[in-house]
Amino acid sequence: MKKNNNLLEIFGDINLSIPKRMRAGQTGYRTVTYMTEIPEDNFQRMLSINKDGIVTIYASKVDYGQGIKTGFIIAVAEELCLEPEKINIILGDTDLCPWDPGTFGSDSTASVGLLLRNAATTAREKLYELAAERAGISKDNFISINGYIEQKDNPSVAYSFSELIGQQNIKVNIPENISLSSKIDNLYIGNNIKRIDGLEKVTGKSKYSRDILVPEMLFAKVIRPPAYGATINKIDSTNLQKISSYYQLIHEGDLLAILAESDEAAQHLSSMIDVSWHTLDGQASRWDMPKILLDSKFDTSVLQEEGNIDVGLNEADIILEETYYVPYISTTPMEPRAAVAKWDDDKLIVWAGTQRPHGIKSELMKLFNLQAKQVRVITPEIGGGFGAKSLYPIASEASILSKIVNKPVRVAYSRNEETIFSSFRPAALMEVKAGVTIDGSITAWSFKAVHAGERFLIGRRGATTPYSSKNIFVEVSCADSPLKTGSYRSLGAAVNHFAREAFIDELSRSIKCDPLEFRLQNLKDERYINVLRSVANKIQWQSSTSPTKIGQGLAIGIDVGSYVALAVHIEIIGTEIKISKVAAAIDCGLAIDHDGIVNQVEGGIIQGLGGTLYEAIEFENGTIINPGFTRYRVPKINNIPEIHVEILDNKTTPSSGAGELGIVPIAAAISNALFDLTGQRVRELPIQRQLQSS
Amino acid sequence: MPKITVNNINHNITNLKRNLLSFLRFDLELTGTKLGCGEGLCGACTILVDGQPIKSCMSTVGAVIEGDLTTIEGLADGEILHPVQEAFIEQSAMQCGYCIPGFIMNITALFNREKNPTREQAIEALSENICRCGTYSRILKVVESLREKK
Repeated sequence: MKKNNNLLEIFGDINLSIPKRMRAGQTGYRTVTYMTEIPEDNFQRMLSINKDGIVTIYASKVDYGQGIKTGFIIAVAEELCLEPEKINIILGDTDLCPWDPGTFGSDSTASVGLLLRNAATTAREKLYELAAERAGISKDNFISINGYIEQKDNPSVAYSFSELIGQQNIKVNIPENISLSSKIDNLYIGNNIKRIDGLEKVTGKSKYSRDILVPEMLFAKVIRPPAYGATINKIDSTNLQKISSYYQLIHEGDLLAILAESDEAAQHLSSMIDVSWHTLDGQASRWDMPKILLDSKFDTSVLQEEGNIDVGLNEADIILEETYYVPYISTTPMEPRAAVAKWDDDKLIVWAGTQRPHGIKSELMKLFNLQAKQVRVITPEIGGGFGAKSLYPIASEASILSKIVNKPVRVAYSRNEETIFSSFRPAALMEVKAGVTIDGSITAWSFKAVHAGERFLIGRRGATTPYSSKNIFVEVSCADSPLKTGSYRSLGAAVNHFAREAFIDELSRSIKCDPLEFRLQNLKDERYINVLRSVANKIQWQSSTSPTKIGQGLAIGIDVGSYVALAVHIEIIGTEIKISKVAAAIDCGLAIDHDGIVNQVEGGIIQGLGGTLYEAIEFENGTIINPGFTRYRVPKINNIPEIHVEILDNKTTPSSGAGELGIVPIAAAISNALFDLTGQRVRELPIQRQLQSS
Repeated sequence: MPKITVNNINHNITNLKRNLLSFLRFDLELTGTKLGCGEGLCGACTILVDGQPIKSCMSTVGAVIEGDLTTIEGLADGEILHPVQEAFIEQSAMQCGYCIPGFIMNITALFNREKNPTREQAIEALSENICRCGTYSRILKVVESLREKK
């Protein structure tokens, strides 16, 4: 049992951990984000201070590299005026941490970061009250300094946190009308605080899902279908009869697995089983995609509609119309998923490095018909996710197998399985048509995008235009998808931005206007203009009415309320495109963890560079042809540009996410730079392949 | 009985065919060395054998008999971190951190070979290590900072 004595505990409303844009009964969003039912006990513990004055943060946002451990600690440190080293943090343990919809959409700082600042503020105010009672003066007389509540004009009156809490067990809810101090002292927020988890990560002590070893644990090798849709026809395991070492062969529903005492034994034994499969013929292949996207549209949504496109086109001096195409790509995180499941009587404990610990818990409750307290999901460190680890089917597999053999069981994906049985960023096709006058007015803007898969949230992200026009029409559709689609950094924003920002470049070129000039002329929102001017300065943009041949390109973007601009320099060495320089500027409101944000933007740029230049999932009739690193090329250290990231100071706007910004405009910026360098316009990703085939 | 030394501890070897990475991770429970691909293409499993980097996922225990192995767990001298580890913390050169042990081992080996490696030598030495979080430029800063210290 948990001991709750001698504690100050702060409870917050778990509804506020749902992204703002998804609250208020928008049930459609729940489906697409796999959001589970919100538990009835709305107020759950988010922060505690124990009798020794130790502060602990509890949250179910998880850290798969974004650095939110550090960000959350900084936010709490600031409000409590306490050194970050004195703050503990527990993330994603469903027995200890509050319910949460999952970690996605760069929302951790905006929602839970804010909740934790409020929780820390609530704790601080409570400590002021306790101090006031002791000293017999008003609570306004106190400040919090390094673990002490001190009387402002008389520092000799100071109480430690532990002294104030004493033997009590105090529970406080974050009040609804809480107001954060408008002034940030910047003790920790906005300073370059080193990563909290650095030491563990450089010494190999961090435990990831793959590193969880439990006594008596068996290693499972799941025998998976050779193609999507294949089902087991016949299993011949006669070869196993000669085996004297321990093993168990389990066939439960669609799940076929061999369990052994070591990873290699399981692997070896699995190769001795002969399985014949019923395959599903006539599945789509990659070359079918553009037609599928155009022919199977559904869930079409008009996101922007002003004036009349035909009227606008009539007023234009020049009309352009182009189609852009983006193939499926894979997240390919460095750590292939693994899960360990263990039953303690009727309680199931699962270690799974998922982005949705409470979601996985809910799935397991349903699968085994268990009560909430009978399932515990523990999230170890996560070796990358980028969206895909929202889904964690092997947590169920490990639990089923463990229940059957009555021992802890580990199921781990191989590198190829991690790609094949994951979800993909959807293939998409964007048809753009616009009219422009010679003096640079956009008279009409029509943008019709179709993204594969039923998760409409993906394609709608970042589809609207920020450029002024009296006649605008933007619609986004879903379409059939032969591959499983799912979350990927920025969802469809990076895809839609590729088409929009490249086409804006085409428009400017069509009237011999400098692309920077053209953007500035047609943008109203100051936040866009500021990031754009910042990168143009940094890269020393050469204004020109025609391509400069120096390989400069730029693009802007918006995602989850944050603004970004990128300017790049590229060159071609032999047949390879080399990105030599990237200047990024972002405005994400109040920047909590500066270095963490810069790190994220750099990472987004590099990941985006892969999708722009190299990556495409090849598939034929239900089979992925290029899983793994042999044939799926990702950026390596010799492909990286010099990157400079500028965070524009904007302390008065609430924090918004920064994790996805780098990837959003990168494809457009590179393709625009390629046009500037060679005059070749590439409207299909990945660009390196287009370049070679032309 | 054949022996190997891992982080200064001797181990008797009974199964020469055992995969080296699995041996380290599951038999010795030194889980700091990671499996990223199991095909020698990502560098996450890099360890040092007699000071030289090898991809442990592609090796058997038998192939390194009598070898002196160092894994990420054996790099620090007690509480005192190796300068390469220090530099990774200093530069915040990591995100998810899964690939970092492999990079650290390779950079350690690089400085064992070259007193003052150039940027090009660093890129060459790390050209088979993959970081999907994209912290490469920070990792190059790590090398640069170590070069400056020398």
